[in-house]
Amino acid sequence: MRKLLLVFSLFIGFSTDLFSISLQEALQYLDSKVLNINITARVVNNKGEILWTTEISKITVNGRSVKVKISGYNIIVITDITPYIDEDNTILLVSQGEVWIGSSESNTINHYATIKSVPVKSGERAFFFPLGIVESSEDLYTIQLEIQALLNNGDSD
Amino acid sequence: MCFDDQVLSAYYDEELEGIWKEKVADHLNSCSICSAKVASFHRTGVLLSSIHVPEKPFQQNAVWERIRHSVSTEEELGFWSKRVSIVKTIGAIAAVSILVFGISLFVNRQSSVPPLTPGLSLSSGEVIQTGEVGRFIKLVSDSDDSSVLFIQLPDKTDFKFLGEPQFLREADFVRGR
Repeated sequence: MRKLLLVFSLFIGFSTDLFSISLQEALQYLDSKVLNINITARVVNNKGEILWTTEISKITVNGRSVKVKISGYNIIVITDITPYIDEDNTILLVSQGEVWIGSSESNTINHYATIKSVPVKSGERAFFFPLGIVESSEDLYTIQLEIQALLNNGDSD
Repeated sequence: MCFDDQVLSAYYDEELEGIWKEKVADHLNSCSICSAKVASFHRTGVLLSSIHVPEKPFQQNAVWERIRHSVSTEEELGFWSKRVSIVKTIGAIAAVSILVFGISLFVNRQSSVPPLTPGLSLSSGEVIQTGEVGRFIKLVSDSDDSSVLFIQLPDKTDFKFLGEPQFLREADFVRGR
């Protein structure tokens, strides 16, 4: 009997805390923190012409990163794109990337690590260039990631 | 002079040795009283040995039976009827509470990390010497994770590092072009 009382009081104690936030409120809170991340990857030449493109998207929540791995003939780009929602629904996109570029001529691999961030509004697009931007007249290519973060609450411009 | 009963009893039980045994034996030959006492010891012994004592160890059985019963009763008791130590129970609850509290503190600390300052920009570069560029790229590429969004670039496109990685808002990018 004593144990029954003990278990009952524990249940009451825990359930008071657990259910102080209703399920509906919890779902609403979670719903307001959901983001849809649309990523368009492109290969662009020095003239700004798009030579190749692909699109992917993933649903995430505030503070949880979306990991993207881009693999090519002599290159690997791994980037973690993490959206942080501010109080005014501004989204701070943080891109933490690593780039490996191999050169078979010199038998070397160049490794670059970078962390960048930009504040955007929901639906606004941001562009990430893990290899930098083509500015010369040489016939070079670069990788462009167009990132669009959309808040699930429809608050987009 | 007659011997007392204890000496006679010891004699009868053959506990006397040497000169005492001889003295008592000599005395018994001449003393009818002491002889009668020894004879009575003999009769008592014969009588006692003739009594049949049952071999059944009923008391021992009863003790075992009681132990067995108490053990089986303990086993049959349900969770709610078992006796538990209040001190141990409180200790266990305290331990679980501390664990839960610690985990919640850790989780809260993880989630309450303030966001990075807008405009943060850090980059670093390094050259690694290797004789197997293709193998290295393949190894990193193949270490697949189901949670990763994987993009395969077109084959035979030779990329070069053009400069510091850039992360721009659409407006800034368009303006820059």
